[in-house]
Amino acid sequence: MSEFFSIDFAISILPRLLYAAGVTVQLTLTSFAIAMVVGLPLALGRLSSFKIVSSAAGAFIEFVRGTPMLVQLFLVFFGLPKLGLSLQPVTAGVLTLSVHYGCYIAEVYRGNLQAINPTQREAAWSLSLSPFDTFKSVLIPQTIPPMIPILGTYLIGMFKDAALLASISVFELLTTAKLIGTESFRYTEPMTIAGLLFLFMSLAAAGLTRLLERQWTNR
Amino acid sequence: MDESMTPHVFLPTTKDAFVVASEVPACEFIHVGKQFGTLEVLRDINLEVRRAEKVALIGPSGSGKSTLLRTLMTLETINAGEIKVNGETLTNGSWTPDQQRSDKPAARARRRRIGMVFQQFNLFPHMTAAENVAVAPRKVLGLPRNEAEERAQKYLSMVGMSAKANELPLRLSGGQQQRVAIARSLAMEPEIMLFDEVTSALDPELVGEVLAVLRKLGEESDLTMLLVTHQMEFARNFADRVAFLWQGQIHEVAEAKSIFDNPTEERTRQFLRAVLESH
Repeated sequence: MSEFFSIDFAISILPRLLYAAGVTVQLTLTSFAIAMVVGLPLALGRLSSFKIVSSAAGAFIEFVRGTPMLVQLFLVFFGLPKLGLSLQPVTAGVLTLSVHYGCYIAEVYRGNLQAINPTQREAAWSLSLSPFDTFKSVLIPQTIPPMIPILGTYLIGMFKDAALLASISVFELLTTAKLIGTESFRYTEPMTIAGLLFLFMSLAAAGLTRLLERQWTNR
Repeated sequence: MDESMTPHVFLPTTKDAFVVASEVPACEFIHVGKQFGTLEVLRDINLEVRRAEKVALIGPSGSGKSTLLRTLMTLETINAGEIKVNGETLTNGSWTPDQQRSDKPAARARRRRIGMVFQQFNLFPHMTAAENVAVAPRKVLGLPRNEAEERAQKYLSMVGMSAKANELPLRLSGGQQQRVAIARSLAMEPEIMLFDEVTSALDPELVGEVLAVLRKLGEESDLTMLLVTHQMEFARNFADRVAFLWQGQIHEVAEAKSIFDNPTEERTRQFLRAVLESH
C-alpha cells in the first residue's frame, strides 16, 4: 500500500475507468452536436433586425456565458423540478452542457457570419437567391472553414467540463476516478489514468479538427 | 348622323399594339430621390431607358452614379419617386424600407429581370466558375442540375471562360473573374444588365478582355444595359446615350457622340476636359 503507483492496481481499475471514459465521450459528443445546432438560432436571433429578438438572444447568451456552468447545472437539475420538470441526471447534464456551449458557439457563428464581406450578400441579392438559399449556399459554406479550429477548442474544453456533471451524480470519467479513490484510499492510480484518458480524448479531438480543416481547405 | 361624322375610333392593329408594347421603357426613374441621413445622394432623377438601349452614366466620384444603379437593383432603397421596370413598379419612395427590400417571391420575381456586375466581381469564393454560374439557375429558376450545368457552360463560353470552368475564383485573374461574374448574371437571362465600374478594379492590361465581352453583348443581344464607367472612349463608342451626373442630379443626358463632342453644360465640359486630359 505504501508504493506510489501500483501497476497491478492500475490494471485492475482500468476497465471501470475505460467504461466511464466511454460515458464521457458519449456525453460530450452528444452535447456538442446539440450545441452546434442550438448555436445557430441563437446567432441568427442575435443578428435579427427585430430588436426584441436580438435583445432577447443577446441577453440569454450573456447570461449563460457570464455565469458558472455549475450554477446552471444546479438550476436545471434542482430548480426545474420545482417548476414541474424533473430530469434524469444525464438529461440535465446534456441539456446544460449543450446550452452552455451553444451560447459560445453562437458567438462564433455570429462573428464568422459578420466577417463575410457584405458584397457576398449583394451578389446573392442581385441573383434573386432566396434568403434561405443565400444562407445555405453562399454564407454557411464560407463560415465553416475558419470556424473549425475554434470549434475544436470548444470540443476539448467540453470533454473536461463534462467532469462537472459529477456534482449531479453522473458517473463520467472523473467521478468514477474519485469514487475509486474514496473506496480504496488510492488516488494516484485512478487520477493518473483519468488524466491520461482525458489527454487521449483531447488529442483525438485536436487530430479530428486538423483533419477537417485540411479537408475543407483542400476543396 | 352621317357615318362619316362619327368620331374616329382608334383601333390598334397588331402592328400598332406591338409598337405600343415595345415603347414601354425597359426602365424608368421618375423623380427618384435618395438620402443617406442628411446627405442627398440622388435628387429628382428622371430617366427613361428604352429596350435594348445602352446608357452610360458618367460623372465625378460621389456624384451618385453607382447609387443610381444600385437603386435599380434594389440594393439601395429610395426616399422619393418611383422606379419602373417594363412599366411595372419595381420600387416606390413611399414604401417602407422593408417593402422596398422585400424578399417575398413576388419581389424576387421583379428583381429577376435585372442583373448586376460589380466592381469587385463578388464571385462566391467557395464555388468553381461553373458552380458560380449554375447556382442561381438551379436555386432560383429550379433547373435540374444537368440543365443548370449546360446553361453555365453556354454562358461561360460566351465570355470565353469555358477552359476555366472548374477553377475556383482564387485561381483566376481579375479579368477572368469579372468575365465569370458577367456569365453568372447572364445565366439568369435578365432583360436589363447593370455594370458598376466593372473594369475599375482591373490591372490595365486586363481591361480590354472585359470591355470586349461587353461589346460582344451589345452586338449580339438585345439586352438593355446601364453602365457606370470611367472609360470615356468606351462610353462614347458603346453607349447610345450618356448621362452626366453631378451632385446627385442628372446634369445632362444626350446621345453619346454629342455629349462628348458638344456638351451643352459647363460642368459636363469641365468634367470631360479633366478626365480626357488625364488620359
